Amino acid sequence: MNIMDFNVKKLAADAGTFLSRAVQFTEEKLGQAEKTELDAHLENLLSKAECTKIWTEKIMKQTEVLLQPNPNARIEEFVYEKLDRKAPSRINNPELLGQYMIDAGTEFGPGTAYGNALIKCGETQKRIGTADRELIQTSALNFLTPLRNFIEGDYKTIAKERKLLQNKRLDLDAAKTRLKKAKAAETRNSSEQELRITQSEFDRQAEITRLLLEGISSTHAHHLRCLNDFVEAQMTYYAQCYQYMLDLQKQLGSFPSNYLSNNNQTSVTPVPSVLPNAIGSSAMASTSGLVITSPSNLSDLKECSGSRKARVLYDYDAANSTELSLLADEVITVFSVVGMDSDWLMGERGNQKGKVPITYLELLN
Amino acid sequence: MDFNMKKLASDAGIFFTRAVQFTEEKFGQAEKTELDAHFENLLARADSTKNWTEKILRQTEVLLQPNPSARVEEFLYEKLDRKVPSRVTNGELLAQYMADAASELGPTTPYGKTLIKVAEAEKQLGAAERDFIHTASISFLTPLRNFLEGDWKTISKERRLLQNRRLDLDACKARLKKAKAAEAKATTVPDFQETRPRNYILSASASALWNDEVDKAEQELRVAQTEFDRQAEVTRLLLEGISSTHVNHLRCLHEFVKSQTTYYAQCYRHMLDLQKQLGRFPGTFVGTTEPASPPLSSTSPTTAAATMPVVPSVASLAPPGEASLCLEEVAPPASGTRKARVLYDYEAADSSELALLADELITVYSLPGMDPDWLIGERGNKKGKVPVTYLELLS
Repeated sequence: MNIMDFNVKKLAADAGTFLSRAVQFTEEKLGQAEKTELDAHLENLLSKAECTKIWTEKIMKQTEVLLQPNPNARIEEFVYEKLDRKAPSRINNPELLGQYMIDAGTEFGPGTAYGNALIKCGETQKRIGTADRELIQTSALNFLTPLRNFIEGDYKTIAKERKLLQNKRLDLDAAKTRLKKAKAAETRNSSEQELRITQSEFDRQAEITRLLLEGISSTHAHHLRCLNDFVEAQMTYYAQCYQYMLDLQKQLGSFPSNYLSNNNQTSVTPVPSVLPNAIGSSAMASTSGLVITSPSNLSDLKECSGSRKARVLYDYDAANSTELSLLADEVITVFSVVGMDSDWLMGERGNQKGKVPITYLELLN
Repeated sequence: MDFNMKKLASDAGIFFTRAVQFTEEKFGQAEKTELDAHFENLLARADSTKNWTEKILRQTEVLLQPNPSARVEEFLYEKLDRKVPSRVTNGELLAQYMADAASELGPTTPYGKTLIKVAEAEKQLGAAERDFIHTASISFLTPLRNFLEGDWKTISKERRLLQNRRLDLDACKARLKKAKAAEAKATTVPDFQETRPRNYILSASASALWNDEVDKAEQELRVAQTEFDRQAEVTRLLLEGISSTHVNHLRCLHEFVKSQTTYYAQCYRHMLDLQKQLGRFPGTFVGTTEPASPPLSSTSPTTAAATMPVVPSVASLAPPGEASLCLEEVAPPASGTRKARVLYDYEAADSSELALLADELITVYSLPGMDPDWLIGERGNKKGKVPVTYLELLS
């Protein structure tokens, strides 16, 4: 009976408190009751904390998108995290592309130019994939986790204390209202005492909240450090990838843009001198007695057109009669022909002549 | 009407003949013309090229745009022949958020300032990524796609025609064999019936009839063989073009590598610029801090300064042993403390911290067991914790 009585009393008290707060809140909204304003400094701190929370959340979410653009993968990771299970390390996109390239190169033939290049590119893509994975892990550990901890830890505490402060303020204002309405001296004394109690509680809660809010400065300092870590992780990632790409270009041993500019240069120079040689050649052709000079003219013509030696890098089977078949490691003479596809040169081996692909050659001298 | 009907009947007949031939081949009741080894090799090579080109194409698309929703959207735009609106990359969006956050949190605060700088770098990274995606699509993905939708479709069409020609050829061969068998059977009949004059005339007629049939079949065979050979030649030429395709794809692969190198070179340069702007090298700082020995907390610059004047006079009078002892006493505090310039204003959050003003100089040192984000700072007689990220260490 005592237990029952106690519970009922407590329940009634809580209900009364709740009702009192609700009445106060409603009267404030309707403008019928005075509201204790928080001091400017505290308001400023509250606003700053709110702002920090909102933008921290946005930056965190977008960084997650940046590191893992596939929403399906993000959902999967989220589910694994909630289930407290370790997410299986998935093959990321560069690694998969690398694998496909290596397999394709193996099937096309490692000895062919295309196959060889595919295998090298595939290996580099795999390394980029590894670097990508490391970037994600480092960024998640040093940047995302601290931001998340702030939102789920510190800020939740602040939010809780703010709510308590709100309740204390409503109690305080309710007590003030009650005091104003009091008529009898006895009731007045009781109200004054209640007011002092609620004022004291309010002040204490305000102090606690203010201390927590001032901790935001430390939070900013901490996030600044995390941001620097993120920058460092990205720096490492791009430096590694850049190095991998430089290595790959060396391995491929080809600089198409350099060659193209060189090709243009050599093709422009001989144009003025071609005509005199042609005229000379036709003039001498009419005189059958001057056969001796023909070979030298042909040689001059070759030099003018820019012939040079080239070593063959890979075997090549001619696709038609206009092309020249090649064997790896042989040396041939090549020159360019005006108007021909820039991917091809004319190649000569003895009395055989035909088109050869530039990418199969290593130009000499 | 008559013409259409005739053509329709003719086509139906051809189709039926091919179907019969195909079925008989499956049951092993008919001979099949085998393609030569070189030709089979070319076919296998073409198939291999097609399969792997498709795989590499798809995976490169995934690499450049990992979000499947975005890929579907781009596909739809392409099919509708409309220009894809240039989307903001993830890096650019992050940059926007960081810039906005800095504006709200205060552009002059250290966190705000750093956010602005990082946002600028992220924006540049985002732009570089967009350029990379665009360049890689044009120089690598488009040629691969053109091969799959152009050259390969042509090869597939010619292969199907070749298959049909071969079925026609084998059907003609089968028909010829049947005609010859019938003719042989017809020629044996006269011997049996030779004694009767009426039957002789009939058997001669039958023999002539089958002879005509054989001639007709042989002519059809020659026509079919010619068409088959021509189609085989056409297909072989197309398949041999795969070599040129490989050369072309090799060039595209080089272009892709070049654009990827350009992309990473740009990103690397942007990050270097950003680190310079942030004006700090965390790795260097950590290295420097490690060797320093922590001084006693009671040590102060005043004490150190007071000790210094005594050393010269003592050194001139005392033996070398005592001078060495004095130096050792002085060494520990000197190696632990150092000057630092304050980069940003800092308001102390509690009494254990030291408030800072931008551009002032203070003395700092570390304590064992303290959070690595903080140091102990001293300004005159004031002492307290200071955040490392607000300082630029000197000396």
